[in-house]
Amino acid sequence: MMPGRTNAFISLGTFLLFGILTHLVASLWGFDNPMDYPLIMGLPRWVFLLLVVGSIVQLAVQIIYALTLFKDEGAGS
Amino acid sequence: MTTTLIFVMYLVLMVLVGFVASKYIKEENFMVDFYTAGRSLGPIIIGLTVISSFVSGGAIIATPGTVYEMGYSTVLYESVSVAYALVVVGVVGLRVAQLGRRFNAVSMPDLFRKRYGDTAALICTVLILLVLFPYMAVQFIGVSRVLQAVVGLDFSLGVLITAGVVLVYISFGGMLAQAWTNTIQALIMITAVLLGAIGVLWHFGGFTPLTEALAARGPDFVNAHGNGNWLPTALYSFTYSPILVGFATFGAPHVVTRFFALRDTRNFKLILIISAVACFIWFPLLQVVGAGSVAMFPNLEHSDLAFPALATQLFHPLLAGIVLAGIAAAMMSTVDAMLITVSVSVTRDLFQRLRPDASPKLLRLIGTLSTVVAAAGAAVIALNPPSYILAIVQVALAGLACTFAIPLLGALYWPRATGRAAAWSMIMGFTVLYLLYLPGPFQHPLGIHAAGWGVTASLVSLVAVSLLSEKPSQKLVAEFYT
Repeated sequence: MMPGRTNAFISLGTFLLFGILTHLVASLWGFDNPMDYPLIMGLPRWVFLLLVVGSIVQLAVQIIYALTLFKDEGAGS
Repeated sequence: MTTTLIFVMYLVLMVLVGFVASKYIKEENFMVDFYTAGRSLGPIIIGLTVISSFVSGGAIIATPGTVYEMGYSTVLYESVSVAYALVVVGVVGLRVAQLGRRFNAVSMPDLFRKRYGDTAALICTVLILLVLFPYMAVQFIGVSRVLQAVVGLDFSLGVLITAGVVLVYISFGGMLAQAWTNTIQALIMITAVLLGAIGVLWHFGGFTPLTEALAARGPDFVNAHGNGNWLPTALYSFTYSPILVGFATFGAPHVVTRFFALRDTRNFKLILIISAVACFIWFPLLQVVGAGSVAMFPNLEHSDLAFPALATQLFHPLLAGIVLAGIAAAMMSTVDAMLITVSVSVTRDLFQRLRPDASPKLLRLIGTLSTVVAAAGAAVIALNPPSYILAIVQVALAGLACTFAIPLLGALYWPRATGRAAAWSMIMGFTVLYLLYLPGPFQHPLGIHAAGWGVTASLVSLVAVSLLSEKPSQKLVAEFYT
């Protein structure tokens, strides 16, 4: 197995998945009438989901990934 | 006065670090010591230098500035910003570190030469020079504009001072100076952004007044389209942000170069965690800073001044000085990474190819001279500044994404990729991008940003030309992919 290929697939795939999910959220609630419901913590719902929830999820997923699936394979030192 | 003093102390510290680092460069081992810090850097320093060289003025100045101009749509544009580390570290970092050590490579063109041959390496070198020069100039413009607004320093003098300081510490200490200064700069940047965001939320008592201030400027400031409908659709936004910035992150030669300096690849996961945490602190909080500036300064002369104006208004001059140093640090840490990249491209990838027997002393002279010329060239461009930093940053980022990302991926992971295909991939990505950027009927066809088309052109060229040309040798494939 080529060194690093699994890491690359998971990393790029996860990154693009984040992109798709955040743009899905924006499509549902961001483009039209974003203020038409109560604000969450003072932010429109789509902004709250992207800025607060999205950031925390992205950080958590990366830390969990680094500590579990990410392989320091082929150390090359 | 206190603000200026803090900023001057920061500049002096950077120069001192450069002098100390110069003591560790041995002339007989100049190429490796100067351009890869003797391959001696650990994961914590690499993690901070990777991210600080990527987080430029485009992030620390333009993110609050973009919120100021475009409202909350910036949140969508930067919706995957916390995951930038994932692509640069997870996709390319580990392999670049491994292959750099295996083939004694010190730069992206150097790696391309081993994998693709001389022609692709030469094209890579020329395109690096073309793309990075305006990007460096923009960093000088950013620092100088901030200095002009905050401490009243003449713009041209600001360009000369910042260019001079970066030039001194890089030409003396090379990559080691860059690594040490970048680590300090990253910590100052984190402090500055934390101060800015906490200051805004403390001052306003929460997000509600910020949202109301944005909504008061118009409905487009709180929806995902943004002011002037700059993100018309989700598809356009997707190709503008995750594709553009994500691919630019791992296609950026000045970021990739960091991994050649890694001591070993054990604990590589630590680099990913450190980079992710830094992005988590920087990007979302910079958007809070931007929203605060909208509420506090509805009539700023220029949106690039949003963060500096906020810092001087909210904080004691001492803290304002730290914030100012943080803003300067973001730009200087990017420009020093680019200077090293330009310097190694000229010294290793052009001069040493022409004069393989050049002495270490001569190589050091060429390395220093190329650094001086690159800094001076960027400073000259900066002395005639454009009006809006973000525009130039975006063009340069798109250039990185469309030119280098795909051939680099091919070199790292696709045994079938050929040298001819890599050359065409760089040329086509670069050409298609800039053709579609030009004003006219072909801008952003089918609602897809030019960067999406550029990356596609680069990918199609790499795959098609590879399949039509002779396979790389078994020996090369075995060396690279096992």
